[in-house]
Formats: sequence, C-alpha cells, structure tokens
Amino acid sequence: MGEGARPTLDAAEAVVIGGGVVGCAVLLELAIRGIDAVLLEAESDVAEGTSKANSAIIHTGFDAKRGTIEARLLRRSAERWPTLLEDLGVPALACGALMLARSEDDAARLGDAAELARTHGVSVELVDSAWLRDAAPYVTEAAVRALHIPDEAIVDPFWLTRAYADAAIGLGARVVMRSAVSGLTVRPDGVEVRTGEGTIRAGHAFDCAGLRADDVARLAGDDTFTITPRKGEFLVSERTAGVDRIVLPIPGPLGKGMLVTPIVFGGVLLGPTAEDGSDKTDRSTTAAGRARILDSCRGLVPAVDEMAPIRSFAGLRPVSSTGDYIIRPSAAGDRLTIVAGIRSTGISASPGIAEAAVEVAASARGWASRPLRTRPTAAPQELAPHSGAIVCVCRSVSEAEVAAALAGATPVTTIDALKRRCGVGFGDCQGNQCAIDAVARLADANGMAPGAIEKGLIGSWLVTDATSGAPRVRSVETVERPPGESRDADAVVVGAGMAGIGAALALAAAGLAVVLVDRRERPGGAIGRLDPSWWTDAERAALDEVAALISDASIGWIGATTVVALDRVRDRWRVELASRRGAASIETNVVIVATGGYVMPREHSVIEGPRPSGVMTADLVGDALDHGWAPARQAVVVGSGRLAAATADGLRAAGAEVIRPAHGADGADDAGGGADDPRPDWSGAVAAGVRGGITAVRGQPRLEGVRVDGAWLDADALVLADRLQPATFLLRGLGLGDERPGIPAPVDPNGGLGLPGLWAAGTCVTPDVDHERSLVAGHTVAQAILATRSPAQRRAGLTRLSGRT
Amino acid sequence: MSVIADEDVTVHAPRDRIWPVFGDAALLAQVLPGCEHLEATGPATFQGVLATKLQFLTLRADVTATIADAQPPDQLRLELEGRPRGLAGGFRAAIPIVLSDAGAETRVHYQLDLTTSGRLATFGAPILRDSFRKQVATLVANLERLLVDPSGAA
Repeated sequence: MGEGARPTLDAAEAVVIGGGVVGCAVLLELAIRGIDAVLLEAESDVAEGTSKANSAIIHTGFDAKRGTIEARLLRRSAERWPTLLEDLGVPALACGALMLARSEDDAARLGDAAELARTHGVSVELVDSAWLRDAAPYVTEAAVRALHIPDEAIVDPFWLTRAYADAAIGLGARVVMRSAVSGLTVRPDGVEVRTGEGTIRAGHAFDCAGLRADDVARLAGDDTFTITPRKGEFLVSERTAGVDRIVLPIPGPLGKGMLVTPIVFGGVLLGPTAEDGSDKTDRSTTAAGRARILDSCRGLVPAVDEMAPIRSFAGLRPVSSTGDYIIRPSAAGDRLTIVAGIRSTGISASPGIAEAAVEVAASARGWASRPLRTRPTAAPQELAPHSGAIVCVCRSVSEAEVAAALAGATPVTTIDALKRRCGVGFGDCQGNQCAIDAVARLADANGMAPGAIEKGLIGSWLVTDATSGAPRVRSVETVERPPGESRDADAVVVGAGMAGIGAALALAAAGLAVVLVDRRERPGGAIGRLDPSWWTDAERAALDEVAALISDASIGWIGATTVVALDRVRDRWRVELASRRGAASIETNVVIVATGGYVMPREHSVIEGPRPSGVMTADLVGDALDHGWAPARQAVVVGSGRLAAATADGLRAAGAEVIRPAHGADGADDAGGGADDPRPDWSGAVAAGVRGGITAVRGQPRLEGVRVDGAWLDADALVLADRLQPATFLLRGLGLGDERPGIPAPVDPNGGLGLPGLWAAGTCVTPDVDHERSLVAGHTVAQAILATRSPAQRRAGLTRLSGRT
Repeated sequence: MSVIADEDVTVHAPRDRIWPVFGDAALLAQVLPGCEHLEATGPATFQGVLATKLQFLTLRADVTATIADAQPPDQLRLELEGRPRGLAGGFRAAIPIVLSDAGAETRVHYQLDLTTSGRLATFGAPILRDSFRKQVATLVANLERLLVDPSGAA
C-alpha cells in the first residue's frame, strides 16, 4: 500500500494503539471475534519498537515469578503456540535451553529453579556434565550441571508481529502506519483518538504503546503507572560454533542475564545487557556494552572468542512501576484497556496477553457473545516461478522474494521493513551494497519519490530530495552477450573488477575461450566506476582492451548477472547464473573467483552510538551517485586512499559539503582529490585500529554528528571508505569460505583453491580498498593457470587465437 | 556436503512391502510429501515437482531423484538435486537409507547429507533440518496409509 493509499478512518468498534507484537496480537484477537478494529502505529512499520530488538525467544515461563500475571499468561500462551505458529506460518524452532551451573553453589540453585519450573507445569530435567559434553559440547567445561528446558523455542520476531497483523487484515482489520496518537478522550459512551490524520471515534481502545504506554494513558488523564526503559545491547554473529540451544546462566536480579541464543535463520545472538535508563529513544550501543557481552557469553560458550560479530544493536524493554504486566481497565474509564509493562516476555506471552486484554473489554462491550471467526492464517508467501536478478548479494535474495515482500498485506515503505520481510540487507555488508537498489524498488512499488524512502524510523532519510544530476555512467561501454550465447567456456571469470579483467585478458591472449561475468552492467568493478581521472594508465589500457575484446566477441561478457553457485559436475564446473533475464548456467574447465570485496561497514568495527540513517560505506555512495541521487548534505569521509578521495569528489559534485578528518594514526589527510590534482598519490594504506579516529556517532533518526579523535563534528553522513572486506560468499557453498567477515579466500601461493580448476584472485584474496595490485594479481593467477596446461592444450589455444586474428 | 540428520524412524509396515515403493513413480508420488508431479525418466531416475513447506514458505522445486546402490530390500541411496522456483541457487542431497525388520514393522535408518547454494544456504541448517524431519514424518505417515489402507494415502 503506497502513501497515497492510506485509508480514511473516522470510526471503528475498537482502536489498538501500538503496532508491536502485543498490539498486533490484540488486533488479531479482536478480528477473530468479528470486531471492526483498526491499529494505529506511530512509525512506518509494525515491530519498530521493543518488538524489533530482543532475544527472539518463545519462553516457557519456567522461571516466572509465582502468582504474577506474567506467569499465568506465559502458561496460557504455551498452550496456544503450537497451533498458532502453524496457522500463522512463522519461522520458529523448539531448540530447548540450558541453564548452566558453573559452581556447586549454582548447582544447588538449579534444584530450586527446577522446582519452580515444575510448579508452572514446564517440563525440565537436571543434567550433569557428562550429558553436556555429549549433547552440548560447546558449553564451558566449567559447567558442572545444567537445567535442560526442552520446550524453550526461538522465533523470528518481525515475522511473528507481521503475521499477527497480516492475519488480522485478512479477517477485515485495518492497520494504519505513521499515525502517532496525539490525543485520547475516554467517555462513558466511547473513545476519541486523535492523530495527525484526524480523529477516530470508537467504542473501545487498547493502549498497547509499549514504551509509550504511560504517555498514551496520560493523554486520557490516567497517570496510575509509569514505564521505564531498560536497555539491552546485543551482538549478532554468523558463526554459531555449533550452538543449537539457548544457553543461559543462573538469573540475576535484572533478568536472565546474558544469553547465547541461536537465531532461527542461522547465526547466534549474544546478550542482552540490562541497564535502566530514562530516555525512551536511546538505542545506542557502546564499547563497554560489547565488552560486557563478550565477557559474559564467553563464560557460557568459550568459542564466543572465535565469533566475529557482524552487527550490534540495542533494544528497550518497557518496565512498569508495578513490576508486573498491567492488563486492566484504565483509571480514565473502562472503554480504555491498559496493556502495558510487557517487560521482556512480550513475544512469549503475546497470545495470552491478547486473549486476556480482549476479555477485559469483552463483557463490558457485549463482545463475549459473538461467534469466533475461522482459525487465523497468514497469507502464504508466494514466489514467482523465476528468481530474477539477485538484489542482495550477501544473502542471494532474489527479485522474486522482494516482489513477494512488497505484495504483503501490511505496507512496506522503508528499507528496514523490506529487510525484515525478505532478508535484503541482513548480510555481511549490512545493506550497503543493496540499499540503493532497495530504495529504487520501494519508490517504484509505492509511487513515492526516492527522497521519501526512509531507512526505518520517521525522518531517517537516505537520499536527499534533490538529485545530484544525471545518473553517472563510468567505465567502458560493452556489447551485451546474453547467457544463451555462452553455454560453454574454457574459463569463467567471476567478477569483472580489475583482477577479473587482468585474468580474462591474459587467458584470452593465450587463446582460451573466456567468459567474464559481473553483477554490474559494465566491467570495471569498484575502480571502473570512479571518475576516469582516478585510473592508472595500466587500468585505463586494460579497460579499453577488455571493451574491445568483448565487442569483437573475443571475450564473452555477461553483465548484470550474479553467479549464485559453483557445482562440480563430471569433472567440469557448472557456473549457475541469475539475472533479470532468468537462470542460466555455463560449463567450464576453469573458474577464477575475482569477486572483490565490499567496504567494511560500521557494524564490523566498534563505533558507539545509535543506528541512524546516514552511516554508510563508499559502496552505497557510489550506487546513489550512479542513480543521480545525493546521499548526504554534509559528509565525513573516512579513508586515505583513492576510493575515499574519489568518493569525496563525487559527493562534492552532488552538492554535499565534505569533511576529511586528518586522523593522527592514519597520517595526513588524503592527498589531493581536487580538480587541480587529477593523479594524486593514493598509495597510503589505512592504519589498523580505530577507523579514522571515529569512535562514536550521534543523532536519530538521521545522523547528526561524528566524534573524531574526541571532538564532535556536525554531519548528516559518515562515509566509510577505508577498508575492504573480501567477498567470499560464493565459496561458502563449497565449504571454502568462512562465515566470519574479513576472512579472505583460502588460496595457495599460486591462487589455487584446492579444488581442480578453481582459482581466486584480487581483493577477495588480498583485501585492498584501493585495488592497487588487483590488475597484476589477476594476470599472475592467469599465468599460473596457463602453466598447468598441457602442450596440446597450449597448441589448441594458439590455434584458436590465430583463427581470431 | 554436511550431514544434518542421522536418525531412525519406524514404519508400521513390513519391509518387503515398503521396498517396491522406491521403484514405482506412481507409488512414490503418493508418499512423497508435497509431490505435485513425478515421472520415471529411467530405471532408477525420476523427475518431478515437490512443494516443500519451510514453516514460513511453501517452496516449489524442480527435482531430479536417483536411486543408487540399491540392495533390495536392505538399503539404497536416494540422491536428490533440486532447484527451488523463485529462489536463487539449489540443493543436492544424498540420503543413505537402511531398512531392517523390527517384528511386523520396519526400522528405517537414514542420513541427510545436504549441500545448499545461493539463497537456501542462507536459511541456516536448523530450519532445513526441522523441515526435513517434518517431511520424513509425513513420508512415513503417507507410507503407512498407502500400505495399510491404499485408499487413504495423501
């Protein structure tokens, strides 16, 4: 649903305020009872508050405090989950949990925990260290016993929240985004809910506003409770170290403590910290929090030290002044039901909470006698038969998946909304390689201007309304050679950056039938799309030569195509391709993986602060400028090489003010970069350690400042252009890549990958953000390949070569 | 490839009645979960379309199946190669199966050695393992229905 398709609302039987997991569950409960209900969400998507940043656990309530509403509703929910998850089609796994005792004192407390669990009706067993060594060898050897809770489960919290909403919409409910409640009047005969869009009159309202539940209640004159935010920081690792159960310590006074939790789609979650605060918007992460998480989780799973987190984030749990859930009529009148203080078990108890909340209102409103509707179901996700092009290269997310996400019942207007539906941007580069493509698709699908597409929170703009001019066209023009013309080859070079070009030219010169494949429309890679003034003479010559050889078909060219898999079939390689034109494959004797890299995103380093839009890499800037869009007005550009300098030039040309911090550890500011110096010295390497002196960012929803060497600089963009991470996604399917970012392709001294005919070259082997050695690296690997060929193969190549000339 | 399942299931039917199902496209089509189409392309090869429910997504895949190393009625290796529709990449599975008598029932030991590429590889082993186990459970139920009450197979 686009911006222009917002429903006009003036009346409903019930209004639900807040589109978190609890609000959406209440909406579904109302819809099942046939009640005309509308949900108002202040942000642009459901699950934009507490529901988006938590441990994603469906908790059995084994350790809930006796006699609490929370304990009762967790148990009620446990009864409903199996059917509900099946009906709603939500990704979830009953992986079980282990509460570790790491001392004899701890072990004694496990008995109490087991007894408490049994009083709640939760199945548990006490297991010893031998059991742990066998079933969970990843836990610390210090664990002397554990409480095994087999029914603890993990879930995708975004999917669950959305599935509630989608199922409710399917039963006739309405969901309106970007509708913050500014006024609320409770009368004996109904409620009036005021938003920026107008006033809705309803018979009943539910305050499910999470962190803002007390603020909403106060709008109606109810000040009987307060909500305090409790911040929890998390880390995400793609490497699991075999962790297949939730691992937790004996709980402390602030909760369960730090956990190591499998993620339903793979990877593990570490954390959370627990810190009471007063700022309901403070989702910043800190170096100290990260250190505490790693320290605590290492005590549970020592292999945490081998994990390289690809992301950190923080969530805020709404802690009520009563210490328990609040589910009751408001002091302002019984036509407002308070559903608040759902501290950290909102996902787990959401079915029970929704049921209880609606029952509070049902008898007073006469809803109890209404017949229940059919069992709720979320609309099954349907994919088009053909995958189309790959949108997110890190996770191989296809156009078909993006299209299915955009066609869902709840509207999708932000980058984060799209990410949570289909995984675009969840991978190693954290969306820096696909965000601009996603902006284009979102703008197109919703009939919105690109400048109106936001990252997530309202105000988190990504590109300015003004364009930077005409879309850039860099690199060389080539003639398209569709896959159908190149079903067979002596060698396929995956990646047409400088290394790939170097390899292709050398192999073609030896007479091999070479096909060059790249996800971009033109060869040249990261360097090829810079202004030509940044190319070396050798690079310029190579780009010209490869264009000429492609034009006369001496080198096969398949652009705008992603290689999604390499398969060894009958002693040859089958290279699987995906593009807008469809799927195809090429069979070949030799594959050279020259997939380059992506600029290291913020998430792979420690930069404190919130997660506003405006923190990006040079990859994202390049994509935006290629579209003619300006991603910044005032940018801090980090890096001392030509990529950084060229990116700064591009931003200036697009009208942005650029700040190049001169960080002491990295030496002087980057040389040149201006029009007077077309061939600067870009040989300076980036020093290890703090990236350009950047230690923190501030601002939310859009970046407002960057802390450099202890001083704050005002900026609405931080552009990282200082380090490259090798792109080895393709090799992971062969068991050769590492799921941790930053680990290069594992080659021998000649560039061989240890499998017949499989080689790698360039920055996927030796990460170098400026690609100084890429052209030579490609050429060198090609020579190594040619040296392995028999005399007969060499003669055949020469014959083919003479035939061409 | 990596082994993501190594398990036993019991089928409430004798082994000599189970074995013939593996060689008969029409019978296989009745017991394979989500089988929308299946035809024999050779004495031990089949081609078809399977719709697999991955909790949140029903995935239709063009699948080639090969029965290898068959030693009737004790063991075989089922090799599957598939390309999901709408997703980039594919999968290859080797499933060694050993059948042994357990009274009037049959104990089936199987492994799943799975290689995924492209998008499927990003779903993570836990989801794939869970889905495969559910498929096996459905397969067993279908087998029992077919062999005990042929009119009731789904």
